[in-house]
Amino acid sequence: MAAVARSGGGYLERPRPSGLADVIDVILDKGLVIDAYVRVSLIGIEILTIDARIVIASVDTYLRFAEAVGRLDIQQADDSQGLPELMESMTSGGAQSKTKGALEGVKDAITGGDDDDDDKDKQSSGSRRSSSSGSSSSRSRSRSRKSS
Amino acid sequence: MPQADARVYVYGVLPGADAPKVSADGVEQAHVRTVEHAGLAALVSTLEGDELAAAREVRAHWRVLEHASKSATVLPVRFGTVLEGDRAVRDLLLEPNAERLTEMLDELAGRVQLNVRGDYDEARLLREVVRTSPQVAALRDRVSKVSDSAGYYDRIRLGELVAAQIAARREQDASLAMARLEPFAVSARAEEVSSQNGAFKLAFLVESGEMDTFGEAVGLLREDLGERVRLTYVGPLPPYTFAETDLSAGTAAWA
Amino acid sequence: MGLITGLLTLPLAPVRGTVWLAERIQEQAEDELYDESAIRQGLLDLDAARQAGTLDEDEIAAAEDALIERLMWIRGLAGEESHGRIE
Repeated sequence: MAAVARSGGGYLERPRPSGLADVIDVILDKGLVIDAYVRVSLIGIEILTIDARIVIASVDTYLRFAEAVGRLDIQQADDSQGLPELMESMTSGGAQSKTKGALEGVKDAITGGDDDDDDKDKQSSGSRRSSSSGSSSSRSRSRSRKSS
Repeated sequence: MPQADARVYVYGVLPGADAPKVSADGVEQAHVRTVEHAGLAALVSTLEGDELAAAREVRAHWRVLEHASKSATVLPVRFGTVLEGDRAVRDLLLEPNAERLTEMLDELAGRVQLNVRGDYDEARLLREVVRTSPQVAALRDRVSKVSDSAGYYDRIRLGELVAAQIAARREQDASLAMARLEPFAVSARAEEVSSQNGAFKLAFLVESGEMDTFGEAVGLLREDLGERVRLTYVGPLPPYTFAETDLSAGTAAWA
Repeated sequence: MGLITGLLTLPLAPVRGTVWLAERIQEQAEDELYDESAIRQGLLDLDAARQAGTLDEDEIAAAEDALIERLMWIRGLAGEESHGRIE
């Protein structure tokens, strides 16, 4: 975003190099798709996706019912510190109130601080909430509109 | 199992002539190599295990494409693409699609992807909405004075009005941004905005030699959008968004 | 923050009923679970932490992984449809 010397009408901007936050969208959604019949399903990704759902559910449970409910059993990857352990070490005192807003700061990036009372969504595999409230909340597929 | 039949992860496709320039480590830290055929080269690495830590490998995928793009035009392949082996890459990916892939590489040669996104400062946006819409201001005032139950429908209505105002602004700002930048690009895409605070998310395919001119247009756009929209200008990226089989329709508009 | 909640926290904010507020928080919490901007912000924050050296790389990588996984979950990447297929 650095503005360089004036040229013509405005400041000539140089783009800043992309970080993970900038590319994660296009990496997951864009790029050449090779027709299904030649693709081999990547077992690891499927397992991991399921694990991620379990992890998210357990984090919510932990945050909301820390005293009352035990944590779910989760299979962890060998090398990484277990996600719940990592979160535990990063959560300060577990005092996550229901009104906690969007991710604040780095530490909360893992804990998420979200509350989802809708158990239905958590249980069905790979489902997304159908958008009811207002503008542009959940998005299913990214659709690109070509400019004319 | 013979090496040639081991499953391979596919990162992208580039011109065969550029294959020797690429050397990197990819998924599972396996060595990235190429499978070549018909003047094309597919960037692949052999998959040892059955499991892939998907999130970690996103990074590897990204790294390989960034690295390769430094020295060649690369057509990124969608993350998570695995083929049954080198033979499949050759016979099922490269051979039947050689012409189309070569065409796409030609269209992307010497061009880069640049992303421009706009995000709203929500507090500022809301203040502006209240300030510029008497209807919203009045309803907000009314809602503030009554109890939950009495004001329930008014609150819904207020929310709807605000959402409509924001949607209108979003469209306006997105159109402005597109109109300003499109003329300096070979091709452009508007992505759906996925967050409440998002104004627009645009991707442009720009000639490398035209990046400065494009950058001037971005600077002007930033000035004109003012403080309401926070502009983020990122790149150059490998052309993920333009690795579509209908790319030629987009470029034809600019031919 | 949610639109309505945000609106009413502007100067001249009125008295809010607790039931109504609880409902808005619920919506907001659901929005957040699926709101990709929170993930994006998390990734940006992590990158900033990396630059500043305030967390070590292992922690950052694990946190990034968690965010990426959540994004994948949101997009239902276990069974996505294809687009732009090669014929």
